[in-house]
Amino acid sequence: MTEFLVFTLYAPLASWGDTAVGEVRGSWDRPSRSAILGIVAAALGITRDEEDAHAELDRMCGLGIRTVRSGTAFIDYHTAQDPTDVAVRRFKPRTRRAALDCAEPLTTLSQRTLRQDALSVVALWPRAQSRWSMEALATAMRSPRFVLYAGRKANVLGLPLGPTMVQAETLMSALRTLPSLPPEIVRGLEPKTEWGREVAYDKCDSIDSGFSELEHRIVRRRDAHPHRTRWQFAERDVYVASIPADAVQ
Amino acid sequence: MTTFLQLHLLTAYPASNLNRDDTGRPKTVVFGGKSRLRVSSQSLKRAWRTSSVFEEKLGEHVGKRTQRLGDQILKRLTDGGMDEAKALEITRTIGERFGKLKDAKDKNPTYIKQLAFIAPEEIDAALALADKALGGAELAGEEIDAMLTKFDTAVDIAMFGRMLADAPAFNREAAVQVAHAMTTHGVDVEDDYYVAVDDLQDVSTHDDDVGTSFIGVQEYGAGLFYLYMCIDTNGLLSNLGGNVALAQDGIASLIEAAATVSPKGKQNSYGSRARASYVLIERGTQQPRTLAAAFLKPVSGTDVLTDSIDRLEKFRTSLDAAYGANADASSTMGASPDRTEGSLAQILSFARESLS
Repeated sequence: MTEFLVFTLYAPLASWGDTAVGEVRGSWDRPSRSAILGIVAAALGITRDEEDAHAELDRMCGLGIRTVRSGTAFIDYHTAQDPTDVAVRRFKPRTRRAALDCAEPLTTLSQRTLRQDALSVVALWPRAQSRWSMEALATAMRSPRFVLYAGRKANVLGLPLGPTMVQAETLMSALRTLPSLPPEIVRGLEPKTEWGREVAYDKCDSIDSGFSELEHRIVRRRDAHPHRTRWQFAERDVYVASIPADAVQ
Repeated sequence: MTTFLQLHLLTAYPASNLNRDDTGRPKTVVFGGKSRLRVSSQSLKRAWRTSSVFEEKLGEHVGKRTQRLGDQILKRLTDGGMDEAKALEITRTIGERFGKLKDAKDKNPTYIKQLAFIAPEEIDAALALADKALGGAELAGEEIDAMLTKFDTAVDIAMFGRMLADAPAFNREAAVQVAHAMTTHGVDVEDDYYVAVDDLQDVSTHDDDVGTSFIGVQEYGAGLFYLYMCIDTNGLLSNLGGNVALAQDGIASLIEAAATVSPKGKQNSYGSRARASYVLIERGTQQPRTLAAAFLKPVSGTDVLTDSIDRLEKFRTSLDAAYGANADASSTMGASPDRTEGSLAQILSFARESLS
């Protein structure tokens, strides 16, 4: 039996960034490991520059994400104006208004993909000892230190995370019963067997995933070991499998 | 833990195009399977941050509002015996950190072009730099930086953050998050087919030329928008070096701007400047959440404002029942025929109290 920390991630608008160079900022269809750990770290109050704390959290948490609804994608055409770096270094404008005044601003146009109405359920399990217990993570998520968001600061969360400790034999059994959700959120998702059943999870060395060797496929994704001040990530293997329709409760 | 202030606003706009995409259409989002009008988070933030409401309300209690800091620096240098030309040069080097300076050839070359808000601590720091220059030291750029930017007296940056790729020491994590605004009901973007007539066209002499000179289409929409904003008060205070009065003023100005300032898109064509008809403010340490899901099923019917307020409040109550109370205290302002209560002043004083 393993104790999992299960919570719901719902945001009206979410973006789970992919490698982005320049103006086209795409989004995966399910949350990234870095985004989820970012939410946990923000709840705990770990600042961006506390690299040791982030690494410890990264080592500690095993992660499984069940995507109930990945959400439809759309593109936000984003115009941003900023003075040049040279002007900023010289004038150090103290307000946004001053920044736009101090020199001719450069305009950057970008297309940012967002996922609307994205709903996932996340299960964390402890892979290694750390300064936090799973209960400490749950308490922090109920009263976080920093604001929480789904990929970008403007992507506010639409539900309390509702962290709960769940005892289960396998990751699959921890995720096959979804927490009770407000009817507004699950509108259009009946019957329950229509709810998304795909689970993306870390390699399960210390626990039983509940999925056999034949059931999963492996996807490479660049969202591991995040460096929070340089926004750099490493690649990892993501195991993806589906909960059988008849196993859903 | 921190104390979060959550703001929920409902603002109605008539035919308007407040925020458009690359094709000139109002921005939209599909929410709950139905297309809604949207005003992006970045558009709202820019409109509020550059508004005179934000600046003026803030200014009353923050240090001095002046163009003439340069005069004080110049006087310090010349009184200390520095030569005029060198003093002017040093004054301008220090002064330009506070705002764009008037031209060197202007009759007041030490003046800042716009009125700038300068806190007493910043004036002291500037004069200390002047003293250093009097002592014969060369003022290096980094030194000036170090003296003047220990913390932000500009609430603007403390609230909305700053990211300088090549000077990460000046980065600030924003204490305020603003969600994209969207209509509570479905909206189909409409087309305004317009023509432009040539005033000098003389039909009597050229009767084969009776048409208009230009035809075009401009898209627009109308609706009741739901806005959500969340302020991390501890984060704001730490960005401001613990200055409670400044944080209170900043939050009050921001809320007032959010309730009264409209984005500037196509304002000359549509004159769509509106004020919030309903404001709900919540305070608590619980994890913040938007109430947008109340509108997943689009509001339909003819009394959109009353129905939207009802939906919002019902959803809030049901979330509280399911997850426990999401806030410790709240206050409401309604400015609609069916819901008249409270006032903006009451909302602002609730916000201020949250920091004392």
